[in-house]
Amino acid sequence: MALTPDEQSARLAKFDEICVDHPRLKAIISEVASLAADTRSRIRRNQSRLELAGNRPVKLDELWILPIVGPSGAGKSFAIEKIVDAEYKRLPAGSDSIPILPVTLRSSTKSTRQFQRQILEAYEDPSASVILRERDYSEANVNNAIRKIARHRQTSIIVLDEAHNLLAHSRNTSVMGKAIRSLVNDGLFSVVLAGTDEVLPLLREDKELRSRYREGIWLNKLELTPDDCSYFMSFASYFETELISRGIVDHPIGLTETIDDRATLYDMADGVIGIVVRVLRLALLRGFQKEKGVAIDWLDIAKAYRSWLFLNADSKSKTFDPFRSGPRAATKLAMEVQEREAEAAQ
Amino acid sequence: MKLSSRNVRTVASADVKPFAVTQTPFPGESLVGYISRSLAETPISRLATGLSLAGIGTGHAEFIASTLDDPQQIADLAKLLGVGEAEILHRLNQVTQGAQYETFHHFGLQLHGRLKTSVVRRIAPTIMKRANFHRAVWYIAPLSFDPETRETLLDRCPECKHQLGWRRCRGISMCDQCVNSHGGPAVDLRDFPQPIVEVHDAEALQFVTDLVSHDGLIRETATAHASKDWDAAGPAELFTFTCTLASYLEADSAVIEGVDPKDAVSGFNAPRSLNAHALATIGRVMMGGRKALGEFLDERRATLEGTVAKKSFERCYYLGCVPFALKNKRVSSSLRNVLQQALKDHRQRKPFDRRMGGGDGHFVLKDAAKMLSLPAPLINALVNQEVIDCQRRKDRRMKTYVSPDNMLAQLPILADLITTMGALKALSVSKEDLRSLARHGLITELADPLLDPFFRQPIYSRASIESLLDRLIKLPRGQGGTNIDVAWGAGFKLNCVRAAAIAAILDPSIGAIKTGDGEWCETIAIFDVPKFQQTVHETIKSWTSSVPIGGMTSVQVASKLGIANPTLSELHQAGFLVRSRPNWYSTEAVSSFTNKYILGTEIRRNHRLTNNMQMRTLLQRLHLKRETGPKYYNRVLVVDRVAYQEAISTLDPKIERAPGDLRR
Repeated sequence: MALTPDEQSARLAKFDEICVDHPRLKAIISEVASLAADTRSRIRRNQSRLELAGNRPVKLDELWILPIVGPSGAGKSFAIEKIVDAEYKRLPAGSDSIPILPVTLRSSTKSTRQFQRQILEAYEDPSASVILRERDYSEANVNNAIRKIARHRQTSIIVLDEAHNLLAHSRNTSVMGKAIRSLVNDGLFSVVLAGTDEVLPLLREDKELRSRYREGIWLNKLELTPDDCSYFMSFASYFETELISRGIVDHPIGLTETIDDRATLYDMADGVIGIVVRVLRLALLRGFQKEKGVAIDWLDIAKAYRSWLFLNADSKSKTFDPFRSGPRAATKLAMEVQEREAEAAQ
Repeated sequence: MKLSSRNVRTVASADVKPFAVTQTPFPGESLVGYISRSLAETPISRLATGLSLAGIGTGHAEFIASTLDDPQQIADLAKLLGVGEAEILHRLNQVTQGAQYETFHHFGLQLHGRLKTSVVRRIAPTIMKRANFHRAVWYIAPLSFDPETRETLLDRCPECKHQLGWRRCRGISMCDQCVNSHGGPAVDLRDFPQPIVEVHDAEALQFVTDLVSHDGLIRETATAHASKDWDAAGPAELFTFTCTLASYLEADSAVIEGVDPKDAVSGFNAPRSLNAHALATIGRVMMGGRKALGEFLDERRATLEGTVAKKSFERCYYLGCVPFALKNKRVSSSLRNVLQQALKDHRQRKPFDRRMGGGDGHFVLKDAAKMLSLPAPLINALVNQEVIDCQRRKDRRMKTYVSPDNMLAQLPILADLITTMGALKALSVSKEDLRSLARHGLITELADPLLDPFFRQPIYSRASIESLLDRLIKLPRGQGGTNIDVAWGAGFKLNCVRAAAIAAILDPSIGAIKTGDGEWCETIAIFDVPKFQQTVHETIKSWTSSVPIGGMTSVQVASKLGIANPTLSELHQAGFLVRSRPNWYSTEAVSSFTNKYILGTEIRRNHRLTNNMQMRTLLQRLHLKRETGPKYYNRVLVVDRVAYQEAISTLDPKIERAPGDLRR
């Protein structure tokens, strides 16, 4: 018998709560934590210098930019979500601090003023609603105001998710480069730029900006090397186990049972683990309609994948359908090698 | 003034959120200063834009403290700034329109509207280094300095010379016009310390500034330091009075330079800063009370007497502009009374010299009239008609001087003249009583062809009235009896009764006695009430019988002449048609009048004239002139009847309309 909407919602919530503590996520968390510590120390130094100087001009220590670049589904947003949640958990009850400010940039961001507006919106400052029509607008003044808010809310890092949206308009590269540079040069906060490889022109364009980069985190798709294959399959296997143990599905799926299954799964996700999760979530919605308990089978996954593919067919690599023509030979071979190596290791 | 005219609510009330960084208001901080300081911490650069977030319109944002009165807007503003509504309400300068002037609210005080600056931002740079906020007391226009540090307030940027305003929120201590290359504020006004005001009496100045402190306790303490002579006036009244007197002190310097005092004072009605010395001087007077005020007036006189070239009021010649405070409605009436008393006391101690220079017996017209116990307007009229001589001084406005001795030499009758009003006051009787008394020889009516045109009412001999009063006063003294007022009852104040009563009292057979020193009608008593009443009745009867038989009432006469009653009164006052007694005209007088004169109403009726222009044309064509009253100028058109009838006989009856009486 099909689940009621409430039951479906409860299971979806459990699905969303699954957190696979994989090494890439750990690396991002560790890097952001290091950046936060470094930034806080610089901000403290800047603040004491500002107080010492009074109204005299001061050259502040610049802060940092940390790029996190990877394809959609590579886990950038998920990592940011986890980092922010972890920070909030650490704060005492009643505190209004925002140590890490997440800002999901809109594709309509054309100007510095719109960019600053989104930062103010993230702080829920009412001035965000009027800044676009301010007659005496000055970028520096708005940055000053943002700095005051940032210091008041103890923000040291701003995470600009979907940073590639800054370049949605062709002429924006230099403008947005300057806007981001101002944030770090004026000592407002360090910037974590999370986006797809479309954000690369922004990183490369501005020479001055380049000197402010920390070593970036490049979340490339997993290749058909034994290590990457092992990482990918471990993730899929762990995820399936979690689905069963949390009671989200009533029957195993068998994502990594056979070599064909593994190769199909890899080709479907094109080596991006986030795609596996997204397709499985769509398949789960179909699984809710089953009569004998919630179960996901390969047919559900294939249909869910095609549905997802239909909406995300913006890249040639993603138009390949392993459910129609079977997995690629190279993928299958890599899986066989990986299995043999695993057996040998045992 | 309301802000709501151009206002469109940009934010729904429920959506108002507090700024990410909110500021706590300082005690004594002005509302606009607090809003501006809060906005300076946000990206918003204009006050109006910030206020629009609370749904407050942008007509005149700088007047927000005076104009904000919508409870919803107040609640939204408080929410936006992250404070309680009480903090906003406390700082409002709501304007209250009184009967004569408007007042504004200042931390519980109601100060006169003119004591507040308008849109200018005034700051004290030095104290702002300690705590960077705008003190509400800097809004009080007469204070040109910070009360705490006595540093002169800065209202213009020393760099760009622009007046500091409120429209831009670039920081409460920053120039709103000077900007750096990034569009941020460039000039910090705290880097321009201003001179400290030095005063001779710092304690008195502190007293004045404490009267308008934001702290109620400080105000109470200051009020307690004020003298008790000020009739328990509150801090607002004391401060207003202080500022008014201080402003007149400043005006005195202009008066010395030749400006008319009235003009000098009018220049001080707008809100303006006052000299700290003047405030301290008046502050000391307020602390000292009546005695200090007297000394202050003495000092003003010593400084000003003889230096004032022109004057509109005599007092200004000696005391400068300070007496103008008596006419200033913004000063409370109780304080004005105290000042008036002080001026009186001063004049008693040091009378004004009202003689003409040289001491030749010429006095100011008003004083001379007083010396002769005559009304000043009469003397003025006699001077204007050149009946009596006068001297004029060109250097003063009060220029008419007359000599009482010369006046008496020219018109000896003046020595014994008393007007009807003077006689009424002296005898406490009615006009008709006076006429009756005169008719029966108890007092004497004067007649002088030279003076008669100046009076609408009879004039009497002062000596005769004094003699009658003397007879009443010198009645035998005694106690008991019935007061004549009581004896006659409610009708005692009726016309003729008092005159008859006087006649009866003077009859020794009545046995009237004087029981005290008050007015005769209150202090004369009789023992035989019925006899008194009978005597009075008989007197009235005998006096009435002496009036010629065959008379008409006013209504009958007016009806006969075809005029209204008031017009008939005018004919009587002008002397054309004299009444025998009130409301009574003799038939002879009426027929004599109608035979001798013709009224304009009759001419109009005869010729069927419809307006005054036709009447004027007719009189011109007939070469007729209006008659002037024997006693007084008349407004009623009166023409000689014989002359009129002769004139109309020359008209061609075919062309001209025939007069009605001739046709009959």
